[in-house]
Amino acid sequence: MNTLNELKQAVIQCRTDDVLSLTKQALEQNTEPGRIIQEGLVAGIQDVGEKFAQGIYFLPELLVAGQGVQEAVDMVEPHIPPNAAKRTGSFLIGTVRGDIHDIGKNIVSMILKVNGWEVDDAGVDVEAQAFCAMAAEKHYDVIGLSGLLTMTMGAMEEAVKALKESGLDPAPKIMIGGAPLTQEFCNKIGADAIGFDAWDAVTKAQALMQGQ
Amino acid sequence: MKTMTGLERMLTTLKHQEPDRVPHGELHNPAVWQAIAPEGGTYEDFIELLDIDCVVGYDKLTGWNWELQDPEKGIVRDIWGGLQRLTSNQPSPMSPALAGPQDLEAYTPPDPDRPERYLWLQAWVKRWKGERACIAHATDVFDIARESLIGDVPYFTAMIQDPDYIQQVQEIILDYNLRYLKNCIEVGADALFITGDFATTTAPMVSPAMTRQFLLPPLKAAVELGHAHGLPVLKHSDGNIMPIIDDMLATGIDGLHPIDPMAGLDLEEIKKKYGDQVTLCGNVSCAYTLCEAPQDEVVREVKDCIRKAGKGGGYVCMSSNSIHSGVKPENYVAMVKAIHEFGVYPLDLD
Repeated sequence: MNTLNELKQAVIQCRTDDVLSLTKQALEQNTEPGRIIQEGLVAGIQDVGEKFAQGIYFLPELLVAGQGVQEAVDMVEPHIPPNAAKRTGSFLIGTVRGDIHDIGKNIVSMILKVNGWEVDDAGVDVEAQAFCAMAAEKHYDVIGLSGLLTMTMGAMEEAVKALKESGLDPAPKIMIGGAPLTQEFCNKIGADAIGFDAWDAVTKAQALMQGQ
Repeated sequence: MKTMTGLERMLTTLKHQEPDRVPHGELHNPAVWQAIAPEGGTYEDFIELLDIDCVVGYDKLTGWNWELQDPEKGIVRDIWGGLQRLTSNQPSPMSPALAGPQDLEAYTPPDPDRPERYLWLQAWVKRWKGERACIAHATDVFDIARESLIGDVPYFTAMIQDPDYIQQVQEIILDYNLRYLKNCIEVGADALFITGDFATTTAPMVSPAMTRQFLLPPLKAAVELGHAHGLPVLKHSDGNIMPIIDDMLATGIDGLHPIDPMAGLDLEEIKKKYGDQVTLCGNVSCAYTLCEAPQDEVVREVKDCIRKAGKGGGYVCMSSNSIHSGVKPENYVAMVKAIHEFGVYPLDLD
């Protein structure tokens, strides 16, 4: 098995120490940094994400694999020429007003980052106007609104409305996610997509970027 | 059939026998009960006004004490040392008490024997003993470990990378919870209720193997404590618990709440499959029906739940989570009235 294949397997098996040592080994072998990320780390984390979606893996595996990949990407990044860095898109994520639950937001954020997204975290209990202000200051391809409490669904609707009416050009896509939310609610409030779990959120964000 | 007390109703249904009427109880947000109670009335007045069969003392609000850190932002330190923020009377975790295993040696857990933790239960027992089921509630060990002591992400990663740390922390919490519940039993609790989610809407948070290793032993210990004193034990978990439901029932729990409809759980199917093993508690939607629907829809959904799960007892009609601040008071009243009208045994819902 070559190093990149071994690296991919180490990611899939949540062997963080091996992920880091194999990444170091690949760099020492002068493997192209882009290949280390794509063929080793991203290939591995995609497999982990698929296992999560299939109910084979759960949050601990998703998080440990994600953290390992994130640390490995940090090791590789200094070896990538600045203009060659691949970026899937930019993502602003936050928990809506009235809710300070952050686990869903944090998990999605982590999985987005390890899949090449540039992610800014707006924090928790974020007012609709604060999302608009951040989006006016910097363009984001996607804005993700998170909420765990049923009682914060109104705040989510308010945030979507405010973002749609804020006249951002180009307009960011808006995603929502959280336990009480449904596809019907997503359609009703005019969000572009709903992520039913962390991997689903990442997959749908990528689909939005591809205009699907 | 002679009219039963709320306590008799609850205990009869938990024995899988038909009481005189489907019982009901909830965790109520103050915004809702205060809107229903007579002006200036107490929570107890509200319970009696609606003739609610069982009352639950949510431990974080009744048995915990909170040290105010930032009054403006509502930031408090909980009994475990974690920082939480209270919004809508709902504590949400901000930062955990422990930065890692290195903090364990110096850590001092809270004292469950402080008498003020039981004042609420003493008052309820004095007022309602034998009349309504006075239920002692404890937050699940898994929940406290993640939200107060270790933190979500560090907890999940430690399950793989440092399982001993998880076990050590959980032993501390379990010791507190068991002593707290035992004290509640001595004061006069009629049943125990353990809350804390094991699942998200799509799947259990951790694998069935990790569920058995980390989540279920503390639950089983609470069940054994309750049963040793002749008390039934109910367990709440939102989310899609179907991949772990058999393991959960194997702990010996007597009641399962709330059969989460948002996670696709079907009350009728679960009644057919597990109704002889466990009393089902739920699942009138508090994500939609109790918040937004017209009252005739509330009545329809209550009747539907009773039709699906009420036959033969083993059913408590409740919301799909709690009566949170987004629930319309008038819809909740409609729900309780519908249970009283259509939950009478023998059931006649056609």
